[in-house]
Amino acid sequence: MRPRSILLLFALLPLPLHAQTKEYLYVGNTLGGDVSIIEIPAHRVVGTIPASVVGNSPDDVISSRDGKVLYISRLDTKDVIAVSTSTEQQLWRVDVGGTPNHLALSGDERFLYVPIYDTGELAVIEMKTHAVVERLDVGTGAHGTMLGPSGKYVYVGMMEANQIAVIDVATNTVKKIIHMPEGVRPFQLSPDERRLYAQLSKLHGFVVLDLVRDSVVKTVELPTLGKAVPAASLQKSHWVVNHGIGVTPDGKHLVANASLSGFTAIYSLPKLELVATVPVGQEPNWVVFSRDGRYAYVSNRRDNTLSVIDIGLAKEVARIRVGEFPQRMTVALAHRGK
Amino acid sequence: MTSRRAAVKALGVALLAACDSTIARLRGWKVVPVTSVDNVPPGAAYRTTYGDEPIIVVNAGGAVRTFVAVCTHEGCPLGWNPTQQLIRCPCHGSAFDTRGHVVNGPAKLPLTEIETIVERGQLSIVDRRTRAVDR
Repeated sequence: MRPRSILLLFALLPLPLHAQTKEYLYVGNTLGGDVSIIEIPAHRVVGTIPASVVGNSPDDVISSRDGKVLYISRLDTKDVIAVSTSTEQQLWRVDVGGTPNHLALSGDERFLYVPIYDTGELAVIEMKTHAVVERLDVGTGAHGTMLGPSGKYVYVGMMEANQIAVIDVATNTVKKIIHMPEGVRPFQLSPDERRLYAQLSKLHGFVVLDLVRDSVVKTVELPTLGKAVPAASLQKSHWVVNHGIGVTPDGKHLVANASLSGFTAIYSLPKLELVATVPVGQEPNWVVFSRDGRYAYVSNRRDNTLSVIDIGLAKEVARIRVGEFPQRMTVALAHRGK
Repeated sequence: MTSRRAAVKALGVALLAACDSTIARLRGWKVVPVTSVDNVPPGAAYRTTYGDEPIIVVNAGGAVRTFVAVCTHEGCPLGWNPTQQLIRCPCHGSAFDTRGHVVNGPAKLPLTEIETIVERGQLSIVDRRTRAVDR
């Protein structure tokens, strides 16, 4: 066999999967109805899942742990869709009977938890049958969900009922309700699941909830940087000062957005000392991290950009234009194989 | 006398024939061109800004209305769902019909409508807060 033929043979052989799989950031653009795909660590937009596939105001975007599927909640159609990261086409769709917000998967991926804002329920989708198998009363304004690091509990934050519901994943029942000072916005858990860091509707900062005592033990106010924080408490309607909080994969830093002030703050953990404030785009809304924890990604929904923050350098190293009104995001190892 | 009567009559006819934008200007209101009406065919919407404020023009079967495109729940900018023919909020899912009424919460209050004029293919809005002489 000639060398050229051997080369051709190798070219035709399928590459091993790990060689084709890359790390991507998927950014849901709620007004645009599409999902921007950003390659990590190149930090360039390499594709878009169009509105013809997603559409209807995507609210949250999360991925399966193997990165093969995106789960997207949609506000307009009150449903959840599954989209293949390989074909970037819709796989299935489930009506959830109300306005779905931020999603969480159980550790074994048997269940997808969907908070329903307008009914105050947590809908539990069984992933095998793609059907809602439970509806748990958790409180009005059910907004955010998160699976705890132990995998035993899902936490649900309520914007209107001022409480957090803790769900026992083994039985899919409400284990307890924790009362909070006001409406609960994005929150995160410490790696040991003893602390919950929650942003509240009218607080320019976040509170630290002790999950053993079920009480707020600390309130951390973000700096104002010499500017007056818009007086959220004077608004007649609900309003949110800060939206988007994350804990780095190594558990050493907490990253919190100052949404109406246009910066992101980095704190050390567990001491919660302010490390830096990083100017970002307009109205930062969400925070996720690269798998190695080097980069934090912040969606700036008012100017349609994404800020890339190098956690070690504590500075913004790139700002990328994405779609219209980018909000929730997820990082996945995916094989884009159209 | 006859000529004065004729003049008054002529002025009346002229005023009757005057377009809405002229009347608005005569009242001292600011008339702001937005877009060609061709950009808002029936069933469609057109989103833009007036000053810092997002606005949305919707055409429901020929009835053209303009609203301040800010959700009355939390102040988020609003979008348009052409399939549903609804103005939608990207933050918490509130929905408003083409008259600005709430059809899905959590918003409770209707949208603020802005007077809209369509003349000779041009779509304009009337800003009653700003006098024309301020331009």
